[in-house]
Amino acid sequence: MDNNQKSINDLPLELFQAILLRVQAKDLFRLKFVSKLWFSLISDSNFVELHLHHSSGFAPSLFFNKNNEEARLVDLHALYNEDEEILHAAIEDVPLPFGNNKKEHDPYYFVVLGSCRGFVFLHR
Amino acid sequence: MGSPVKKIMLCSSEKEIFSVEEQVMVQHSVIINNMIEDGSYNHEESKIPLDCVDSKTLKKVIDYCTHHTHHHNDNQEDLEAWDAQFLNVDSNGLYDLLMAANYLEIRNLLDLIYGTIKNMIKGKKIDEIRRIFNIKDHGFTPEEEEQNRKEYPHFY
Repeated sequence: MDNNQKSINDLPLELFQAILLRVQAKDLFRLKFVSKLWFSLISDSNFVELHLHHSSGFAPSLFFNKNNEEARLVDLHALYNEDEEILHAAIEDVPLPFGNNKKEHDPYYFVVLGSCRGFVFLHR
Repeated sequence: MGSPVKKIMLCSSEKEIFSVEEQVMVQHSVIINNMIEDGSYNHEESKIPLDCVDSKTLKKVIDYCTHHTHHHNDNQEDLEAWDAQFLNVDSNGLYDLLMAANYLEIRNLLDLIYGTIKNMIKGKKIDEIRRIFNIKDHGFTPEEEEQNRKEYPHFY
């Protein structure tokens, strides 16, 4: 019977939070709008901190400036993997916002100086 | 002749008794491993009461631990196929298993279920997630909901 179907929100919060900790950061923003409960859980600063440790523990990465249009994201763990497929996936080209502003006098010309904890430091 | 296989008794919420190889549960469940190690389980008369795990779920949990004890040398592909078939249950069954694995602290089963639910969320639109996970009351006011839908139409 449909009426007996439990909802994911019937789970204890700690278990539900453990699921959200495994979701990629880029998907979390969208999930905030599923319900008010999800919104407050995902917005919670403790959760953000936990999520950062959880995900960075799995894939410590470095962000390199390739040119002004693209940057390279290197997954440090995958670099040491012997499986060629994983090794190839270790390096990912990431398009930069405002990448079409190539010259110094363009209005949104940025240089990537570095990255830390998911944030990218831009300089213009 | 080898020594007989040691068994322990697990008791479900319906008071049904399950007799399981001790080694199977000790290898997988942190809680049961601790009970055996610290001597709080008496093989003559103890039964481990699992008041929040029903018989159907407990049987599945025992199946999982038994398979992974006796087949841990199987190749990864076979084990993953077995796991996928094992978790081919409805969402209620999945939540019950998650609660049981958490209660008994069966870490590999927990990770398996977390990963499965995570994959059910991945790439889905909000309306779809609400349906799959049976979220009837999202808690936003009609105005907030309308505003969110207007601002992020591609999310829904």
